[in-house]
Amino acid sequence: MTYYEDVEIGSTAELGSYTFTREEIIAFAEKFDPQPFHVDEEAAKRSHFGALCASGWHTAATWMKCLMAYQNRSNATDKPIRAAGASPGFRNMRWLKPVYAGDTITYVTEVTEKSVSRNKPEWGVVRSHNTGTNQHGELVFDFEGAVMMRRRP
Amino acid sequence: MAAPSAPAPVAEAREIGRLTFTAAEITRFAAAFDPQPAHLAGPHNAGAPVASGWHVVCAWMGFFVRSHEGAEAEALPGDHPAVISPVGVGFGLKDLKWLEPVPAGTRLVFFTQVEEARASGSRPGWQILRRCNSARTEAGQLVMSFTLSHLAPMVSAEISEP
Repeated sequence: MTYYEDVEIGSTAELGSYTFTREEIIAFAEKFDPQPFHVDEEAAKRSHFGALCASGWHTAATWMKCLMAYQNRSNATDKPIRAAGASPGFRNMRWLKPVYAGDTITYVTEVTEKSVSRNKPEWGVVRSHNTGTNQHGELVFDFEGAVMMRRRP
Repeated sequence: MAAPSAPAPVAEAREIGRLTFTAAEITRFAAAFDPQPAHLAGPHNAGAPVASGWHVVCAWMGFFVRSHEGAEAEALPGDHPAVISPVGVGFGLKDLKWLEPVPAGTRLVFFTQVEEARASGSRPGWQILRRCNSARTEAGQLVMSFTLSHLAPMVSAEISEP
């Protein structure tokens, strides 16, 4: 079990990379974001994006997917970055560049802030800066995340 | 059909849809994106998972986009901003709060409300909207809120903000 006290400000981790396929972009968007440039290649060509690109929510949910995969494969020698757990929310999510079909996004997290809960002193909040960078080295996505972590008893 | 004219008026909160989060749908989303035990139906939670917060916000987006589907856009030329991009382009969002868990069986009501609208300085025919969005239980309890800024086509108010 990883506790709040185990996490150090400044710790970073590469969570993993994910290649967004045309099929997955369309399947996600048909359900959660059916704008023409996310579901229709021809319409996307006519849009300001110029080609089919992923919903920003798809980019965000895939961050979570990569975080969970990282947590499952990380071991005791890795510096803990956070625990999987309840999140109170996040701040300042930005979609800076489109994620096109075929793009590979690499997600990185850095611990930025820790605070003990005022109401529930057995819990702390760990905040992190999270980024997604494409295969050209361009930052496409970032946000300030937060997670509740138990304090060491 | 009004010509592109003025930014959308600041409006009251508008309901964009309702959805019951079933154990099967919660589990399907979580298995793909957020496979924490709390979000996956199983013996550990008596088959009653709570929805991933990402699932709740993605469901909001689905309703938001579908609330823009309208016959009016079909009367416009193919290169009109409202045809190319009926909803607009998201810049990002601030202060998303997941306030309450959403257990299987919960029916949520989704809302959006324009807080600020101004014409884009660089793109004629477009406006920049800041809107406050939320999900509530049918009993009215707030479970999620966030503020979203996006570029939107300036059509008639009926399309850009019914």
